[in-house]
Amino acid sequence: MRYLLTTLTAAAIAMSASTGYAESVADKRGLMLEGARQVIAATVDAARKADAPGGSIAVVDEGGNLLALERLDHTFAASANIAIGKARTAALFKKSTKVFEDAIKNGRTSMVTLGGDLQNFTPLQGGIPLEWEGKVVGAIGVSGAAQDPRCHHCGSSCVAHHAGDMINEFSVLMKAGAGAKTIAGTIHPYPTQAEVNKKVVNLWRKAHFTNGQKNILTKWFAWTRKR
Amino acid sequence: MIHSMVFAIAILGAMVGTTQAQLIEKQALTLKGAKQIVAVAEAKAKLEGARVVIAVVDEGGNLLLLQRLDDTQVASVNVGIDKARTAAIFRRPSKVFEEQVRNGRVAALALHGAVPLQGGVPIVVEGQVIGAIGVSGETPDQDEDIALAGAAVAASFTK
Repeated sequence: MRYLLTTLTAAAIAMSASTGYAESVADKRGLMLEGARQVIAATVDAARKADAPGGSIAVVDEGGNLLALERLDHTFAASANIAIGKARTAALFKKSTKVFEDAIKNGRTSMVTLGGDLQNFTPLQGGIPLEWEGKVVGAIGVSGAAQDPRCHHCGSSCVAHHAGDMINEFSVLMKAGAGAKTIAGTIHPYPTQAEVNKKVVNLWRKAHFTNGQKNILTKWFAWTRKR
Repeated sequence: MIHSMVFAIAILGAMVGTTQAQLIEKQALTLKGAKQIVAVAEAKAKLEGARVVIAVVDEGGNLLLLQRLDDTQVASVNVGIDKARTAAIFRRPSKVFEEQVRNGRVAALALHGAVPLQGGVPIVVEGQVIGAIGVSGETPDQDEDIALAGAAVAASFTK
């Protein structure tokens, strides 16, 4: 009798549990190897077009586990693990890893410690979640594809009277492999139309200061004013 | 006086030594080569219905190419890489270490950079180890068979 009761209770619990089954488990989309391959192929294509010196490309699933990886010829070996780390970080946080790099750069240094708990946490730009119908199904991480950081001028367009004459200055800049700094530092005859080149370059530079540069300049100006 | 003469002779000896080469030629596995190896391993795995991770590392044990076939347990990713690295940096199948441990050489567990698990096989071209392939996900023998099928492709490699 007691045995029967126990069995009945167990059956009742099992039944009530099974009625709640539908809400207990959710549907999930998972990236498959073929999808990962297509993502990598497109990335390799983009890297070639951008004249990247190489690159490791990693694709992970939504759990941050590696699905596929390719290291292009001549890419430095350490980039493989960095690419996996970037992809993993992007997948597990469902965020671009640039968010972390920026946060740390802007002073939230303590964010680096997230790496203590999380295997392979890599707060470096280059990891992006892969979304499908608004859900993160995985992530991609790229490392070793960055260009030489020494910036140089890559192109210009100009609309003005005598534009053909004015753009010469930029042609020389490109040929010499120099950057905007060169024009900014050149004394232009005043008043001439070509002087506007210098003004444009200065405006561009002003808009492209990094946060670190802005910080230093702010402090510098504050200090000079005090004197 | 004698001292300076000995010193001069030593320098002379070092200079004579420079006539010998300081660098060796090395063969490096390209991504294309790695892809050919993985393609064959993948074909074999699919034929057998095996769900595995296939990893190819270069001669330094660093990951070059990896594929996790659909529905493979995720833990195999790291095991596959580890097996490949073991075979590459020790220039022998990872099975060797598994057998050593089984035969009582427990100290083999302490080898730095090695996992004593069957399924990692070196990729050899003209007697030189240029990389390795590691397979993980099924039984030790099946993993190794798939790895061997991939590594065999290297026999046809040319520069």
